[in-house]
Amino acid sequence: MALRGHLLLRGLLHSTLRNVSVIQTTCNRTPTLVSHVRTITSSHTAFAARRKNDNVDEKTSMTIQGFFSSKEKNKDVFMVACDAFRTRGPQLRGHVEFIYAAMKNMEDFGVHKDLEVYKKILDLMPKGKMIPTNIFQQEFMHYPRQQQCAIDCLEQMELNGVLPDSETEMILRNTFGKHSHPVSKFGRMMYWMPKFKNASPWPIPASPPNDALELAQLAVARMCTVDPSSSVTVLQTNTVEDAIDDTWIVSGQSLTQQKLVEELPVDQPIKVEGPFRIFLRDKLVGYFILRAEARPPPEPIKREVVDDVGSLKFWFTGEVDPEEETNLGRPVSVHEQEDGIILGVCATGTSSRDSLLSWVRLLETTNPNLANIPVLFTQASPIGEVMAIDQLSNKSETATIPT
Amino acid sequence: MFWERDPKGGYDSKTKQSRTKLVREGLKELRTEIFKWQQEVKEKFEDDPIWVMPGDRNKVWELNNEAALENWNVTSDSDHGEGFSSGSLTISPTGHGLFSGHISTQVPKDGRVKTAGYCNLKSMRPRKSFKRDSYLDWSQYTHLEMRVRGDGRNYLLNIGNAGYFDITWNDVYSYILFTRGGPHWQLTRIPFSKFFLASKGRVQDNQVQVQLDQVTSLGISAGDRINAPFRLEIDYIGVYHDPNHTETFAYEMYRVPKFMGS
Amino acid sequence: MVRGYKLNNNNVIRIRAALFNTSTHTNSEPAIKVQEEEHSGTQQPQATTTPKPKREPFVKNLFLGKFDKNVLAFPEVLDQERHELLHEMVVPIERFFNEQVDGAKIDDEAKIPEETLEGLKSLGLYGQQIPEEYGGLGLGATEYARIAEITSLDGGIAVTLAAHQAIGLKGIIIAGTEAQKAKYLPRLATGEWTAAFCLTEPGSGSDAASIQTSATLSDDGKTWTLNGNKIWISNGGYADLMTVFAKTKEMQRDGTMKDRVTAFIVERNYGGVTSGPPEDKLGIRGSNTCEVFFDNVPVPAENVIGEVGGGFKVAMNILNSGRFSMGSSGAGILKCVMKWAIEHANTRHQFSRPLSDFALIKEKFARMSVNIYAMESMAYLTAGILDGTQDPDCSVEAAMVKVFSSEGMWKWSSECLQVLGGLGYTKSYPYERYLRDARILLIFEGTNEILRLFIGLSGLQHAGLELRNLVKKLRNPLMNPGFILGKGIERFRQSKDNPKLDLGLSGHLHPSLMGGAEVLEYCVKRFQYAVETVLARYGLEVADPANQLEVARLADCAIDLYAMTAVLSRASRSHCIGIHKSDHELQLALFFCEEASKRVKIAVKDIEDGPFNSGDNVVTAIADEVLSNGGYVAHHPLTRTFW
Repeated sequence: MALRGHLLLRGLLHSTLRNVSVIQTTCNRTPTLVSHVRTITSSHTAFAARRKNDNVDEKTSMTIQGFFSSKEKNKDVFMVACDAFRTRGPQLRGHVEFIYAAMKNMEDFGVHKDLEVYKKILDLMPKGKMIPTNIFQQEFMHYPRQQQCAIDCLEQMELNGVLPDSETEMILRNTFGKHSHPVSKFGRMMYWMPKFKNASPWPIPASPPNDALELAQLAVARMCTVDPSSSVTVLQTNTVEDAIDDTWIVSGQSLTQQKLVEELPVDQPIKVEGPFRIFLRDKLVGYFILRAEARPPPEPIKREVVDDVGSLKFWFTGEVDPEEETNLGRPVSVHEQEDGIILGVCATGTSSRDSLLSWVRLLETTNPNLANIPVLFTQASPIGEVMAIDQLSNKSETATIPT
Repeated sequence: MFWERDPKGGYDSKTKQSRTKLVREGLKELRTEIFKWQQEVKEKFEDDPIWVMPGDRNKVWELNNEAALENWNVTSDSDHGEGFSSGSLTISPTGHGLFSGHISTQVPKDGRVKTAGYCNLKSMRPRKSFKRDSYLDWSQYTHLEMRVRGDGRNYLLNIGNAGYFDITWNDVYSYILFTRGGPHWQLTRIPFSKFFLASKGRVQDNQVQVQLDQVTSLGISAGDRINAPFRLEIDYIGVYHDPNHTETFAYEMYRVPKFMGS
Repeated sequence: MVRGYKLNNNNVIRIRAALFNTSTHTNSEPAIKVQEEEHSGTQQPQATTTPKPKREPFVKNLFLGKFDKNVLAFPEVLDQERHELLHEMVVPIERFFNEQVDGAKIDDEAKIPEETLEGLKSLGLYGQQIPEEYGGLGLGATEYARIAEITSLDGGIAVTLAAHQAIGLKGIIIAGTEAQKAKYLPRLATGEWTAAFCLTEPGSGSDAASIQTSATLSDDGKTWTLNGNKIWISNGGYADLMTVFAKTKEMQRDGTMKDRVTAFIVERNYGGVTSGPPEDKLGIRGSNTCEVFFDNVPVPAENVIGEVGGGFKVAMNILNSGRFSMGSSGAGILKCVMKWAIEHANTRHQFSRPLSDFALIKEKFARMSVNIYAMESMAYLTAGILDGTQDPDCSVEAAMVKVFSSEGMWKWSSECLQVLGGLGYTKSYPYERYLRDARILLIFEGTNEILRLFIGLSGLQHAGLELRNLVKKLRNPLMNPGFILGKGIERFRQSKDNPKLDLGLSGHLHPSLMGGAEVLEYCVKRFQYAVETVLARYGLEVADPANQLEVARLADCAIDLYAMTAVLSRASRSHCIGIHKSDHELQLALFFCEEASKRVKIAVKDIEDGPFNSGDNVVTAIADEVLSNGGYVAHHPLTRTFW
């Protein structure tokens, strides 16, 4: 009985939630195109937004578009535009359209991840007027268009990963009241977003650097977290003689990998492969690897050996030869995979073959055996998809992928 | 509005097949289905359940050949004209399953769609003989274990928990799969206590833990709003039992006023 | 019901958020957490002056079995502005300590170079807790604890700073008059003058009430003359201002003269103040410690701190207020040393494996992590209570933090040295220096033995007030049959080690910590039973020197209880607000609770068994024999009685 009641409740709420999503999709059809001349009253239902669009671009008086049509697009101009809106009158007419227009233009102005800006535009709603004063107003979404606008603004904050704060809560409560939908949504954001903000085992700073060298360092450090004895070093190609490129190399290698290089057979070539993709939030870094062919895994210990307690040997009293196969065996490191032995990872400034050659030369200082082994540069690789070099061409710039 | 009419939520292919063709195809499969049914009956009489010991791992899906890929379905937003992303599941050069494609955040201008850019990989619903729907039973295990090699992007893991009633048809328990990127394989274990309940993409307010004896599907979605190609190589997906894991559910519930929150 | 909202003049409703999160846990309910508004879990306090809540002392009430559940909400006392300011302060201090402080050299020469001291002064570290109007940084307890994490990287510097401000000039801040503050604090804040705290004498170390330094008032009542000598005074060699405690005669109501302790502010330039040579110490060698002699030093009457005769209380307040920062400073050093040791363990290969593969090494790091977590949690919980409540009484909590952290630091810096083996033993690595510096922590600011007694007896004193009737009845069972019957059922359950767990703590913590909450409840109930047993067994004689072993056991239980509360509260908050790697914190917290409950269980069992069965009497008997013999009693194993 209890279960059915629970499920029915979920069904009702389920449908109300669907309703909310329907409202969202329809309302957003017309945000910026409704003229500011039309006044907004609370009598319209949620579906009022399905009116036919006017093309208001032809209106020459100061339209909502005009607020955001400056050539220079940065935060100060955006804030000034918001302040300018207030000068139109203390009643803040057309604030819903303005807020939708502001939300649409935020990315152009580069402020879509700035909490202060979101607070400023939410602050444009009149305070106190829209708080329900009786039970009927509370039950039916009071000022639905405005509440929906606030919800959309919060949704955009959520999609951009901006965490609101207590001041945002105050603004929303003063505007819509304690038990309104935007305040509920705020509550949900404050519950869920902090939990996932730091959930990644490989955290990236909130605003990742734009500089290619720093990004490369972050990327290589991230890939090297596999082995705690790794170290990430920044090398310069100009320390290598006969190097054509003059660029930086970020190289990551661990002590285990160095030992593996020591033990490599000299007759088999090893390959430098890449560039492969790694993403750091929305930035792309191309990295190269040094790979040797895979060794067959060691034979598993036979069952009879494991069961025989009479042949217990202490490994620190010299009773056991290191080559002899015992319970300990030689531990297989994390770098020895079935598709190859990964001996090192790097990212360079130019990603050119010459810089990779310099990398290998520089590695020889810590891996002397490397000088004896032939190194090949390959295009195709079983490890991953090799990027075309033109995809890397914007790496030296901001390296941001346009969304 | 008051009940779910369509298990596919309106995203069906809407092509109708002729009845005779359906019957003919069904008769072709009759032999395999009878064989499956015989196996089930035999198993029932053998009655040899799996004992799950601490530290046991069960590879539920091992993607190492073309036949294993038959169990999976790749969808994206471009299938129904709601976006421009694309994806595919193939076998990678190293012999493992490769889920790759391109996520495009470009929104099609049809006024309906607000945001775009996802690509989904979903396992087929396990079936008993004669195409009867069945469940996966993971109640003895505590973690979902995957050996993957990603590209640093975040993917969403979705455990479908559709039940008999329509309210539960869209129950999906999700969590994020963070990938390290890089040439090394990554063994990720995600405890089932961390999966939160969402329905049709909206996180629900009243959270419960995933019902592990009623798992219908596992899905991996790429949709992290980055307009770039993605690549996820999967060796196997399995379940793991960790006796040290005492947490039953990670999301605490607060008491709120009755009319707030669903 | 929906009410209309009253609007004030500006058409804006001011919503008052509580400064300290009392609004979040209104009622207690098991299974789900209760919160008034889901989203005010942001717990951001207002910068405006909302009144701080007043709370009863937490640990003292634990002795009665009363658990104040507000403590389970880990305090967040800094608002965004102060938090960012603190971070900005921390960065240059860290840089200074990493780049410009040469700990090995300071230890070698037993002296802190002048330019280092100047650097500390310019960073404002000499006036951390001095209010801003007198030129100091005006830091609260939490910020002070945070900075102590960094300054402790060099033991000598840490002790110099602590002697100057945590005890040397604290008296003026706590109990000084406005005139005294205005006169002395500005110079002390900039570091122009250094302060010292002069209480210990050759004849009175732990026994502070028996000091012999005397101060006599002149006939005109305007000058006191100070005579005596003090030892082990940090900064004593060059301090310009000293808080000196001296014995003054006070006329009692019945006409007799009684000796009372009074606190004086003595400036070195009053004349007659001389310092002996600096002591050659095992650790904290950078700090200057010496004897200070007072030879007819004239001290003006307005330099008395507090009241004449009220010096003992001033001394206790001063000492109680600085102790909690040892938790965070200990955690700071241990985190640093642990990092180096882990790097060594990951890179050093023996038997063709890194050291970190071996379980014995892993165990060290695991237990060290748990210990550091407990230290930090306790320190910041105490600091939060100090900052966030009105008139806080945290003397017992601070003492607990000190005992736990000092022992933890001594043990775990030793274990880090052990991981390095021979390398750790040499002077070329800093581990031995940190170990030597850590040894003093068990001694100064109240020896750990005295503090255990202080914890135990303070709690018993507080509990005794409420339990006096209970104990009278318990000690006279035949005269109070009805009461004994009622109590008997409770006692029966306790004797079966199965107390009723009715505190409802799991409703105030994240559900994943329910195991820990149950363990904590069990320990609280058992502890309450132990307290009642001890009071009933000894009555007033519980303060007798011969009965210290049981009181110390109670103190150990109380320390474990407080630590459990702190770690559970912190782990719950971390998991709720999504701090990075909060799963690891949950693991640390639950593990600590399990281990602590094992200790509590054994201790309570020993108390329950009584001094005969727990071996206390045997210990006392052996000790008496050895002491009266003047040495080890048993004869040499090679002795023969016949051929």
